[in-house]
Amino acid sequence: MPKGCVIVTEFMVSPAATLFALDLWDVSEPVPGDLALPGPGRSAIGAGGAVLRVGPKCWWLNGAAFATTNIAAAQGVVTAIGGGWVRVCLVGDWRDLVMQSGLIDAEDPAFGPGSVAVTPLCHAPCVLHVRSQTACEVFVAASYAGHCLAHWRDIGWKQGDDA
Amino acid sequence: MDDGTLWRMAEDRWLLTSSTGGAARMARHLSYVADVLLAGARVAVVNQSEHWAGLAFAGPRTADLLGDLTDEAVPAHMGHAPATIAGIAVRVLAASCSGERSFEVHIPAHQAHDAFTALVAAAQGVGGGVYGLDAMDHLRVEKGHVVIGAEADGRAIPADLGMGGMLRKAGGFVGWQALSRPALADPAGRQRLVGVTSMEGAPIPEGAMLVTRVGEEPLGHVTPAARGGRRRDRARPADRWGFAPWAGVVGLVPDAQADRAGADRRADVLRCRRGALS
Repeated sequence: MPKGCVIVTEFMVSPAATLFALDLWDVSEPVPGDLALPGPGRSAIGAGGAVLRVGPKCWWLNGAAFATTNIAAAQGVVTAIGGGWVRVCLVGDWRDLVMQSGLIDAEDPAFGPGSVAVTPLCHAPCVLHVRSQTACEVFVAASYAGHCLAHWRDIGWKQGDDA
Repeated sequence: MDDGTLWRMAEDRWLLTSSTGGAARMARHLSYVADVLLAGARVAVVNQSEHWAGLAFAGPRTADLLGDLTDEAVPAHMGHAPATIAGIAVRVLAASCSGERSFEVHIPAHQAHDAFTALVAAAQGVGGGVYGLDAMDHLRVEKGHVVIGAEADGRAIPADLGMGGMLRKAGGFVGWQALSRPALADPAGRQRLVGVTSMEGAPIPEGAMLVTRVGEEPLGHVTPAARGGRRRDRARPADRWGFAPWAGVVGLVPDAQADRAGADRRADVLRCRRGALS
């Protein structure tokens, strides 16, 4: 760390709200419209929001614009799930916090911006989306969020204003 | 696996509800079926347990209150409809799990507060209010309302719970062949759901073992317990319901023990001193 620098470590919490699960029956079939579907462990950010690959045939669509995503029943289904997830934006040395919270090598250089991981943190189901070297978005199942935030406060992180 | 209700929300979309503690188990099994046993099937299982906050709105005046709140006609029994409460888009499902007229209102969890407040205010306006699990325990004690996991504990059969008469005698339903197995068909080896009341007014804790004498092997156990419940009083046949200082415990006891006490139905009451069943 350069002399005189201060590492800011804080997290901002907000409801995920505009989060949708996209399940496709056959990933080899083209998806209608301009929806760009990222590969395993990756995200794609477009004008409508972020698309995260969270399973072999499942993506998360994060953004209000995705509420009107129209997928033919022959291709798959979109389901609203935002009420069940809390979005926590970690700012600062998030890799250290993540590694203290779960069994994941967050310091792997390949785990950089645009990476997505589905993994437990503090024993709670979480989805990580790396936004930059100093910011990581963590989606925490809502009923476990209080537990996770308490743990992160315990290890010295501050809670900032709502994201 | 669990109890719940199945709703057809659209031509190709269903909503399956479960008990609070059974959602993860049910979602896991259904995902296994979809992904492994029916691999290639065009079906997605999405666990929305945390997405929806489910509120039960129960009581004889709920249909009118809900109609006023939503400005819509409420759905018929086992029907569902979209609605708006306090500016929030909700789902109204007309389902009753207690016998009382009731609705389930499903609200996106992060927006539940305002809708909950509006529902509570409407109920309080006619003398109602918020109720919780204690109310369900009283229902279990007063009318034999069965809870999956407690009375229906994976070992009990309908006859144990006084519900054998509800079964279709010709069979043909899930599990009917198993009910003809000797261990399930012979009442001598079965436990029976009965009421238990304290003779001394002392509390009987939920989960307590029931014995005829201290030091003997337990004959049964207490499922729910509630203080001051309204119970059928065998001593006052003209007034078959009475109040006791500590009434409203339901236990599973062996069939023979239930017969000795004359408890031939789940509404009957065994008397219980602290630590002993009479």
